Amino acid sequence: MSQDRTGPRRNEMGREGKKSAVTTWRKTPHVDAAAARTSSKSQGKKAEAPRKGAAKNGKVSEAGRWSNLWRLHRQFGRESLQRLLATPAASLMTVLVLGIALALPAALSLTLENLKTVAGNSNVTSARISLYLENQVSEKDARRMREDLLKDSGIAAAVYISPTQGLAEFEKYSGLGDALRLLDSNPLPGVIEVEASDSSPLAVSNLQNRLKRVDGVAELRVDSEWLKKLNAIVTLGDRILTGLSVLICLAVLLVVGNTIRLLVVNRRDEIRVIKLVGGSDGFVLLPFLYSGFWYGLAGGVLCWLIVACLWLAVSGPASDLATLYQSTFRPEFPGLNMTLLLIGGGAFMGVSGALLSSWRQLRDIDP
Amino acid sequence: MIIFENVSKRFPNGHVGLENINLHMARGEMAFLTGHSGAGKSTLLKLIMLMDRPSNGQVQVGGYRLSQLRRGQIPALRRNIGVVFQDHQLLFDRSVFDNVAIPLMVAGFDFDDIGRRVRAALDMVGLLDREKLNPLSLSGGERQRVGIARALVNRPAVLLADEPTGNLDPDLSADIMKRFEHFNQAGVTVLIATHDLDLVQRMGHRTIRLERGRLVTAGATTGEAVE
Repeated sequence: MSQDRTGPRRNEMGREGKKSAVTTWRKTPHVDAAAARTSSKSQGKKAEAPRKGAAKNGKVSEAGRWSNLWRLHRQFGRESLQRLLATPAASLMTVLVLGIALALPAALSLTLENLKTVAGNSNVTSARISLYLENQVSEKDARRMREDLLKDSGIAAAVYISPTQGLAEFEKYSGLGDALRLLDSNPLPGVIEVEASDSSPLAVSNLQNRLKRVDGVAELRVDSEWLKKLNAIVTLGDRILTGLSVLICLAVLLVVGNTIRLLVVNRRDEIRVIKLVGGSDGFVLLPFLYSGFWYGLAGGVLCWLIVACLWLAVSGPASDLATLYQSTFRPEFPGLNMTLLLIGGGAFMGVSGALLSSWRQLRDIDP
Repeated sequence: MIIFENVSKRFPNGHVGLENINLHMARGEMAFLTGHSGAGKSTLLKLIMLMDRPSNGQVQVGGYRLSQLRRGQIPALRRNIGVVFQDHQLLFDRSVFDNVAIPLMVAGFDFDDIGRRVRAALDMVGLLDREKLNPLSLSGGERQRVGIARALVNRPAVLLADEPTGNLDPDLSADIMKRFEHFNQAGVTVLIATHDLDLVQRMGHRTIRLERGRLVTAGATTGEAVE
């Protein structure tokens, strides 16, 4: 008998089995006459009203069953929220832990998104190439070189910075003027700064090759070099984000799981009683899933708040930094997608954590 | 309805709870289970509602061999068995009303129906005016009656009661027993564990007597209830 109930049809059979268990139990299925008599004393006409719904088990209409289920869910949702609010300090601690933990990868992800915007921003990639001239090139030669360079169609602009000018600038920006004055001569070479008219990587690299062959150029440096480094950093950051996210997700699952585990322990008696009067595993599980849901949701919202605060704190300095790199880039506020992802992800992880930790535990409470 | 075949129950500590019990209760029968405390009355009731499993032998309830019932079917079994527990098993974090409503909630009864049924059950045990109170503020006897209301609220096919009148005064005990009889007449199989022998004799139903885990008197199945 038990063998043929296993296998893929197990679920259907389970339902069938339950139904038949309910309906074949006795010949006279209800005792309404007695009930009507006893309750009519106090309730008058109401007791005479036709008993709809579960009067004969299993005859609840389809719509009625859905509406019952909906009301049950609403009630459980409300009750678990009330339970959570009944211990505000403890709940707040859990929510804080969740929020802060989730904020780590969220903030990192936001940073990376913004860095990617920077890396892809054409305004910044407009490549500047600095030609460091050989020492023996005189200022006059250098000016002539600049004129020649301007004839190249690939070059939009060229500026000559003489060693003296360079020294003045260096003194101004580095604050190392005193140290430089100790030197006998100006160690800085003359520099021609060239701006490429086409900033695509290929054009820049072609131009670079041409400029390398120009006489008198000792070294040349492409200013967009830092963009490549940035790209590399972003790629690395992506990897770190993935790893960190996995770890944080695990941590969140564990935190929610542990909290729910304690809830289950505290409500052991209740679960026992509910099971004794015929509550299924799913029925006792549901309130805990809702607890996990609320924890996760609150954690997600808190995480969003933290990220938003971080953004407010960082966006000003970040814009300033971008200005230093001649970029019009402005850090982007966490958008709707990010918001939904954070809050929805939080809630999802809350439910998963609750499910993982309480399922086994609830099954083991076996009166 | 309830069949025990060579059922024994030994506890892990070696104590013998029940030994070789053979018992047959017909559908719609009412019986008392008597014996000294420790004779195995509670153990026997626990085996019927699968709170415990026998070490040997077979228990059948409502046509089901309990040993072959899958885990998922246990709730359905319990929904058909109303139980009045000796220690009430009430929940103190909710009102009397909500306590009585639990069996209806778990069985998926219509929400609008629950209030009506719960009040009918509370009215039956005379506690309609206490529905909003917490069971903690009730006396032992009142808690017992809340337990009875909860056992009967979903009109189970089988009613098990473990010392249901232990804390009640004689008048109320008699009244509750009358209620049980009433349900029995409506087709419910009733098994009541008690050591109130006076009451048992007055009621004049089948009496099953246990002594140290053994069946002493199985009693005769009453004629009217034979299947």
